[in-house]
Amino acid sequence: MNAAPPTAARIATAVTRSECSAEQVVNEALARLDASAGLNAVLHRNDARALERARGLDERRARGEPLGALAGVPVAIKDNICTRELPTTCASKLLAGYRPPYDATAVAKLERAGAVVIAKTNCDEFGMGSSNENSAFGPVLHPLDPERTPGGSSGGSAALVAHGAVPAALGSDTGGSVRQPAAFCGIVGLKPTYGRVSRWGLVAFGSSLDQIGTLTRSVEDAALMLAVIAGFDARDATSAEEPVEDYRGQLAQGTHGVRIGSLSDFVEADGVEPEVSLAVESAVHALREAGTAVQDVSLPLARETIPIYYLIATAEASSNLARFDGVRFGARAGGVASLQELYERTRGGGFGAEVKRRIMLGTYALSAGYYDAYFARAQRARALLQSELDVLFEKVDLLLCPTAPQSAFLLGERIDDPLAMYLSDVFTVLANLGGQPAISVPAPARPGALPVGVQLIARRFDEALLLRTAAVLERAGFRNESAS
Amino acid sequence: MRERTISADEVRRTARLARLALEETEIERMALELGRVIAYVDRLRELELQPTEALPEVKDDLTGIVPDGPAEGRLRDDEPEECLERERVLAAAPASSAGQFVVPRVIDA
Repeated sequence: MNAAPPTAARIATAVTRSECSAEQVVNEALARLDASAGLNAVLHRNDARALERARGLDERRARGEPLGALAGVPVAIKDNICTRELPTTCASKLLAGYRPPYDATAVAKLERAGAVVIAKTNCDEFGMGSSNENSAFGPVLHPLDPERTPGGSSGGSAALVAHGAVPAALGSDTGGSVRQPAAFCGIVGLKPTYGRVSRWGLVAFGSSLDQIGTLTRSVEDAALMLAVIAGFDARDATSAEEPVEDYRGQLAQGTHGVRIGSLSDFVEADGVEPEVSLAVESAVHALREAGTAVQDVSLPLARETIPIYYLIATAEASSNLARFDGVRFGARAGGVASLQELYERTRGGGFGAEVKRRIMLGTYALSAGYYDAYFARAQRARALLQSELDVLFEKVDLLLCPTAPQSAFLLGERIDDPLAMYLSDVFTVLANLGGQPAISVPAPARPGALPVGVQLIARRFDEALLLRTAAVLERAGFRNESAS
Repeated sequence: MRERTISADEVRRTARLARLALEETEIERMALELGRVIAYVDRLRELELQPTEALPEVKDDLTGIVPDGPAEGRLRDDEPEECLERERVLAAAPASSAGQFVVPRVIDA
């Protein structure tokens, strides 16, 4: 599309003030969706119901009824988040055509606030991957370079937002699946605190790590989206009874006197591209200019996060994915003689290579003879990592590091080397293991260079400071050029 | 990185536990790939950890990381609430009949 599409904040204001109709906004978004078809970012479209909903919003506005904070805002939803009106496949052959009997709480909250779901987005199967190549429905292409990955696992959501089809999308983040694709695509990716957003209706991957997050082009839109989807939900026993703040209203406050710890020795790790180090350096400069105190801090266990994460995440996945057994959902293997064979053949034929690999690793780490050496050891190391983080957060208010060690890599570059793929999550898994909120903001665009992101991590439930600081960076040029 | 190999038999045993039917070619590849990942995560063995304390995951709340979570867990009152529609739930299943999920026979007649 030609002109930069408007942000969610601008759309909601325009629709609320009757400067345009919700129907007009949704029609334009559907046209932008057509224009982005080559990215393979969309698994299911919702055209007819989206237009019907938009007309309903326009009628309510005509009657003088309030429409909500996201009035008329078109949104896309990662396909591992349940929607009653659209299939939810988790990009898995095993769930092809599955229609959940209910909406995820986050989706219901978006709709109650006036947002209009226009599409479900492609992703790595069950959220397992860092390149979107593990989708049963083909990879998503990077909006700036079709030979590259948009990142993963929320690659479809990131690509659609970066391409301008929607101003905002939901993703899920178990080890960086919102933040890493946001960094690759040059947009803003927010992973809220563990427990901040209800996961009712998010298909579980790693239950002690999973969190629903947002992909947007501006920090303001991230703040707006979070305020809508956050909050306690009796249907998710892990959701927190913490007050939800007006995050957007605090964005202009600045960060004078805020203390930031730069995880500098962590960043000096092998394989960090110069472009990424440069982005972190310029973030340090911008934050100092804004009156924050930046100091180098170190986290001794930082280099152990990948083994800890992959043992815990796969162990939890092996348990969570046991439910896909050919009995209650999706596809079932034919011609089987016994229940055992039904389970084994349905799962063996229905899951893709990476999902099987992770189920196998998790099962192995939990199995008799290996439990103490792997799973229990990883849990203890995680507890130690959490106490190291607690100590750091007594000294500083925020942590700063890259989002990913590199910019978007080529499709096919790492797909045959699972370990190399896992190592690309080195900076993001930290906030999932600790439960902290974290955000990726795009570094200032450099001619000829692909986008890279810098990451801020805050104390648990301090999204207000996280977003305020991200807004400071945004005002200093850490922004998506098309966000207006 | 230490040498660590996973045998085809270990892969078969794990696949049985995971209820995954794997082709013979998959088993060979899986042995190689799992072996490499296990060799990498083996670095955790070098960490000095305190083995005496209870595992963090056996705390009352799910993970032990929700700071102000109630110690007694979260159980709602035993009052009937709205629940999923049976017809819709069954419609999503590969086979159902008379309000139930259908599976292969598990008990010999």
